[in-house]
Amino acid sequence: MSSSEFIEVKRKIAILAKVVFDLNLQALRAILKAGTEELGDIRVCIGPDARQVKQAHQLGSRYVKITLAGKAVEKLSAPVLAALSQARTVEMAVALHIAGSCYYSTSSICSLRHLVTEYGISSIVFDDKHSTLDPMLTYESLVSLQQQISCPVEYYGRNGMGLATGNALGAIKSGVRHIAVSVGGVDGYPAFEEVLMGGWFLLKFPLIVPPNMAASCEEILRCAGQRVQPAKPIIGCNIFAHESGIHVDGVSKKSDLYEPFTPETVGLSRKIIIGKHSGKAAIELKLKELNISIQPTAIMQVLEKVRDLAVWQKAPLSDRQLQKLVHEVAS
Amino acid sequence: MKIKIVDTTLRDGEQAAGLVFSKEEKLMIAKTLDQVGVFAIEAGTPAMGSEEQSILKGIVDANLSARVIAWNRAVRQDIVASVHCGFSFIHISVPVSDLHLHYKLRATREAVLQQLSDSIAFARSFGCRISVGTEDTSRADEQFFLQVADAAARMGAEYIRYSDTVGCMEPLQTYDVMRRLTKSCALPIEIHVHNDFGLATANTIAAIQAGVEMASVTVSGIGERAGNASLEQVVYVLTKLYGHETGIDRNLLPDLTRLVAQACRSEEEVILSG
Repeated sequence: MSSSEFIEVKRKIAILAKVVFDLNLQALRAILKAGTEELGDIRVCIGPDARQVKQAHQLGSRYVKITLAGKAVEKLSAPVLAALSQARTVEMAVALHIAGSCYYSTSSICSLRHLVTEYGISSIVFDDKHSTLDPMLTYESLVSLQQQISCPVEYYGRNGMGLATGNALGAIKSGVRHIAVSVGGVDGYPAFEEVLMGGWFLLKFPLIVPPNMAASCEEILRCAGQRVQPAKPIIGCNIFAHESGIHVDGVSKKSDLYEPFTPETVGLSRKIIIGKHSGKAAIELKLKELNISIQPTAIMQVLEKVRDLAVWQKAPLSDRQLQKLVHEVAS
Repeated sequence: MKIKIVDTTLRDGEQAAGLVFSKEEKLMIAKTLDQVGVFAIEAGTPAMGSEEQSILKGIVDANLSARVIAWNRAVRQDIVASVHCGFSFIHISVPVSDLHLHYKLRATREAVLQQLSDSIAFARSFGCRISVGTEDTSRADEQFFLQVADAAARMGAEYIRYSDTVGCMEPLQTYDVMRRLTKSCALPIEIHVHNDFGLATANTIAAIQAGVEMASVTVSGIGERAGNASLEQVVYVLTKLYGHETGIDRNLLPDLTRLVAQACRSEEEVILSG
């Protein structure tokens, strides 16, 4: 992605929700060069190094995330303290990211709490980069951490086990209000759209679901060179496609029988697919849609032919194919 | 802890809109699932018609080590179709949420209980072994689910499926619900969830950590809308994170994944890429 594409994608994401963008120094330099002026929603990710704090500040940033890894967590070294001191001197907000937090006991993370007051740390980032926790343990760890740390705690998890969204919701339930996400779950983070919808619909948080979210996410992912899988939760084009007899009959009576939320919520639409699993109601519904009338007694004959053809061609039927079958039965 | 894996790739998985497996593919997938070591294979719905019945007979006749299960509504004609295919394991499903009872079935809870009891008795009269499925359980009254389980247990069913039909549970809630239900349910519970919010794996393992010992999954999570819990992912988490036994030979899973991915390609795609 070029810097200008990068800036464009950033703008598109910012429209969807109020977010903070984590960028490294190199990316920050690149977008500054490409003309970015406003850095209010950017946080610069750096190591525990006073020079990097200085560089970020000189580039105009007022917010850094300093990552502590390995021994730096257990024994605070001079460079760590120098970096924090530098940030305090230039009045930069600091988030302290504890790499591999999940491996440390709450008490060892809490041994860092004096830093929060001494250096005015604005948040502690709890990291489960290696996906070692499930939603229950994520919840428990974060409840306990928040009880002992006086600043806000952030959650930074990954999808190594397929549990990222579940863990993120666990974090939200524990009281955490800052979650690292990526649109479509790109690069293995919890998917932005799943966390947003889960937070809003399942946890009942007053979040705002942007209009046409599916199309917006698709566009953003296209810029990142990714295709949205048709069955991708929340944004896939097929998540409101129904074929099986029971389901089509159900959604035609009342859509929430087989849909957790309406397609309009995310800017998608419902599709009725005619195929091997179709039932009587689906055929009736589709014929009505196509403005074709047929004797009610002939529906079962059409259905039998539909199923045979779908199995034979190993694919659902097009509208034309259905029309042809109806014609055959009627004549 | 030993977790039983019930695979429904051939039933709920194939219900993904637009998907059709051929007879050969269904048989091959069933055989591979058996080699991989699943506890049960939900093979399909015999009531769908003669074409499906001939496919399902082929699977029953393959004499697999796994249980081969037929999916049925609680109606006699479905059970007759399953028995005719030679099935001895019959799954009978009833909706349990008031939403489904009111808008879909237009039936009372009492009527559903009666219909289920009659269907179990009917299927057992053929010597079949029974599991019961409850649809839209996550939006149903828990007490009614327990009542259904009681009735099913009295009639001789062996276990009961709890379905999150529209995928609207979140893991911590699943954990709490299952902690309660595993203590008071008259039958062992099988958890069956959908992936509408990207939570299928998380909800499945939350149920298991709460004491549920059976998980319904599909290969690669294929299924209606955003799909089901993925067999590969659930087994991976159960093994790696908790060290639970599943009976699954994980070395054979890549072949199964490939086989199903191949079978999921429609003729159009084959022609286009061919």
